[in-house]
Amino acid sequence: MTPDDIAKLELPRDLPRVRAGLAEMLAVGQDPTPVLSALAERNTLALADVVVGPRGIQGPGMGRAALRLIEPLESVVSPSALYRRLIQLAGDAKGDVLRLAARRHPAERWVMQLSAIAEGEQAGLTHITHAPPELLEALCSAYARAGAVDGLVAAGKVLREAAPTLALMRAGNLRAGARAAGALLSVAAQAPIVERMAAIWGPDLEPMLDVLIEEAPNADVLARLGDYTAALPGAEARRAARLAGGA
Amino acid sequence: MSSRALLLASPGPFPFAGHLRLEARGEHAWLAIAASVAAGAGPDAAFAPARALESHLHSQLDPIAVHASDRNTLLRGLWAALASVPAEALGPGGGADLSLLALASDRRGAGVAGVGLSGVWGMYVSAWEPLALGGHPMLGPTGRPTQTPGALRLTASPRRVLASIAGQTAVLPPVDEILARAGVRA
Repeated sequence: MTPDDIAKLELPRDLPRVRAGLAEMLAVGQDPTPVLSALAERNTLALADVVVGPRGIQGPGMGRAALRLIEPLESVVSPSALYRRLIQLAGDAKGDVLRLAARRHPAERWVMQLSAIAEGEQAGLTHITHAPPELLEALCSAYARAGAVDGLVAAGKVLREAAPTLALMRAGNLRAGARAAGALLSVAAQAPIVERMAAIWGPDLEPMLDVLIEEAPNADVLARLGDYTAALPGAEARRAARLAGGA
Repeated sequence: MSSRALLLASPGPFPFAGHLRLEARGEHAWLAIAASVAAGAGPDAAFAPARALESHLHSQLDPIAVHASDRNTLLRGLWAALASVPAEALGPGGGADLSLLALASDRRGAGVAGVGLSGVWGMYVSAWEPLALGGHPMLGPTGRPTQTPGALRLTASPRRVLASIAGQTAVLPPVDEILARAGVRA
């Protein structure tokens, strides 16, 4: 099927022919984008029917092509329903769908639901790392309140930002906050993350440092924590013991 | 770690910036301190001054506590120790933003003293009672005292004392929130 074929069809009557043509293109590895673009120009509702309708064609090839036509699709399908359907259909391209949703609709709550569907335990990672910086704290807080951990830990490491750690601390999850802090310190050793954790946690630092020591991902992070344990003999002993144990 | 002297958190995203807490115990008298310094400088800049003050007070007061025969010895030691901290160790304000609450106890009772506080409460059994509110002379602006402050004498030592920082409204939080609002972790 070619873009010119689209001009000759009667729509929506001939949509089954469009679907069949697209399926053939995808089967031989052809990019369906030109045909879908022609369809978008001719009849946007028909495009939406073919891409995300009940008989939408599944697979990453179609999913990626749909993302190139996201503006016409969003003009006829509500974004929350559109991206949810695209995630269902896109197979291996679901990460691309989530990234685009995060870029185009970073403040929308439904992107969090999309992230949970697409990323599971890593919920929040793509959304947080692809949103504009001014939304970073709000998104980290929302994910932390929703119970996300792994995605926040990973996001803090990718972005080299304290916000995920601090959001976990403010959500009352010290151990997850310590994991996130350890991940951050593993890529940004001088980040003042312990100082900020302490300003949320309170003045009794030893229990907090003990969890940081337990969750430290490697010897380098344990060495850095020595800057904070020097005046606390108990915590320093536990840090030294973990280091000696081959952390 | 002692949690007999407590300072309420400040409002904002970093409620315990610059907070510290310590205790010096001897056989006859003991002293619990909660303080905040350099909080306005933010969490990063306030951390080192708080630790420096904590370390300095420990180094000065622990030896005094070993030999102190009464609570007043400890309170005098506290003010002397505070006066001897180099200003540059106390953050960008040089200690001008210091708030401190101290509870000194011995077998005859207790003394409560402080600087930079807007209200003080004590807990004896389970209820909190106001110890200093309104125009009480123990309450006043932040900063290291230029004269040795007086102490509120109590015939029985409270289990805990709690204070709000100068500049903050002196309102006791709901009872079930007090410890969390003072940074006491289970």
